[in-house]
Amino acid sequence: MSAMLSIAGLWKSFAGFVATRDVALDLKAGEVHAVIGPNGAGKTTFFNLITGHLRPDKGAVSFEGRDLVGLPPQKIVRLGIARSFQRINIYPRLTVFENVQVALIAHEGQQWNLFRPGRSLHREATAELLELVGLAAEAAETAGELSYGKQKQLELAIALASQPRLLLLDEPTAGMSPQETAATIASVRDIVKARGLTLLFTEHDMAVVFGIAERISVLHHGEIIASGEPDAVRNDPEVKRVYLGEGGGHG
Amino acid sequence: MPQRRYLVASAIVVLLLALLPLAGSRYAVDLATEVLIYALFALSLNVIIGFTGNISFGHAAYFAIGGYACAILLTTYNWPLLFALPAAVVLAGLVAAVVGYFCVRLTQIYFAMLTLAFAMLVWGVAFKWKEVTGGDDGFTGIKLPEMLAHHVRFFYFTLAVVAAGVAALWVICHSAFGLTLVAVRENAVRAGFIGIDTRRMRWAAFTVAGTFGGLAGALFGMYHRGMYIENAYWTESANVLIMVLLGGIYSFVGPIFGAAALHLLQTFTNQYTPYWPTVLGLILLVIVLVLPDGLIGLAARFKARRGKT
Repeated sequence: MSAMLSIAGLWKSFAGFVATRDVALDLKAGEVHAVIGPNGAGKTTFFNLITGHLRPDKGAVSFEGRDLVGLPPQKIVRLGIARSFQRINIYPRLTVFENVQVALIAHEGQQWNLFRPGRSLHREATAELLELVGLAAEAAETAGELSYGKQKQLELAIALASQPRLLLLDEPTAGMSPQETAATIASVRDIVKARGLTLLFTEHDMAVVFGIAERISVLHHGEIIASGEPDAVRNDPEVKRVYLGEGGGHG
Repeated sequence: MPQRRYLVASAIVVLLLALLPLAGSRYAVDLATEVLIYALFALSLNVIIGFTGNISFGHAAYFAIGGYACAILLTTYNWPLLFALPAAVVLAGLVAAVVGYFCVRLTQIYFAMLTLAFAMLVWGVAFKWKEVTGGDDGFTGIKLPEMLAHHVRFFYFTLAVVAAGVAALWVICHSAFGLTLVAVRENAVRAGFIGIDTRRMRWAAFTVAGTFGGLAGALFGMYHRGMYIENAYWTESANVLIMVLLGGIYSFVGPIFGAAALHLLQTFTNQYTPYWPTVLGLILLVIVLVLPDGLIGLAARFKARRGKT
């Protein structure tokens, strides 16, 4: 069985600095896969290469057999890959409700409808998604005024609104309190299971990673130095040396 | 239902305006005609500014194209208004589509400079193509249909066309398209990652803006019985830009208030002093320093304060 997402020989450098070095990764449908690594290891660059935000210098990325290299983000989303961002990336002046509603409008291809009132569309689906990520009470608030943790939740709802089969979450709990982290991770796990999604995420909190990941890849200086099941990765001497040993269990 | 409230409010405004000629003042009717035209012009520009977040310094180009095209078709080619007006509007929209195709590749100041450059080209054409446009003498003696010759009739015609134009823009700005545009304005990167081709959206917005700008220009030319190269000049683009900023870019109706306030202020100032540019400078200063959201933003702030106490 071929992989859902298949990455081979991926390279990217910025002005001589190699951010991604010959990265290869295969992701099976339904897998929960974590990419870990110290700050600056190239995790976000890696995500940007997959989702079309950056174009790789070399290498192949294919999703369900389709080549993604060179496609713009809006095309890749429509193939079934949605993502969230490490840094908050929402529409600050829109309401929480509209933030999700627009994503549903885009998913249905209704952005070219000049006549149907935008606010009347997908009200139920929007409400359901907000309920799912625990933002039902904040629906009418201006998104830019939410707390940091809630904006992260909103990011998740926006990504889910694109009805992805593969979900990429870039540090979904960055900047959250331990309580928020635990709640977020529990909800992500439930959503992924309930919707049968494939999840690729980056994370710096080791407890989170070993709690939900089925497989882990370790990025270091743009290179994958280990990839496999959590126990194997945890005991990998190279990983211990560069990462787990240095930073301890809490990034 | 707020939707219904807006509808009732607009109906009342249109009705009150329709009663204006009963006051018997030619001056008031003419002034109202001018304000209506500028309101539509400003509203069309705000599709670019308020809904895509880019500033155009060249919106007078489409105003002028609409105005000149309608004037030339009516007068040189003797077309009936029923065809000349739509043709002029379509032409303005087409030119906006062509220009917009290039402009939306850029954003911010580069976008603004490119819109300005294209507008100067349009001005250049109006200036140099003397046998068609009249060059710097202007295109005068526009033939209007008999039934619109009287100023009150023309006022009602303008009122009807502007009301229809504003209604159409309202529908477009509040549609799924309009809401998506606001998302693009707020965060183009995120909009790309929900599957939006942000450049094409901005292109469409640019075309819509040019189309309605052309409609305002056509009315303007007919009202003045002439089009002049100044109508395509960058000062005209700046004027409508100030109207939009004065009214407030984040509200649909803002530019209408901005257009009315600026045009009335200019008219009255000119009666007392020749120093309108000085007054305009002061207005700009006030907008930049204390009214970043325009008159509408000011009204909202007052409302919020009253709500608290």
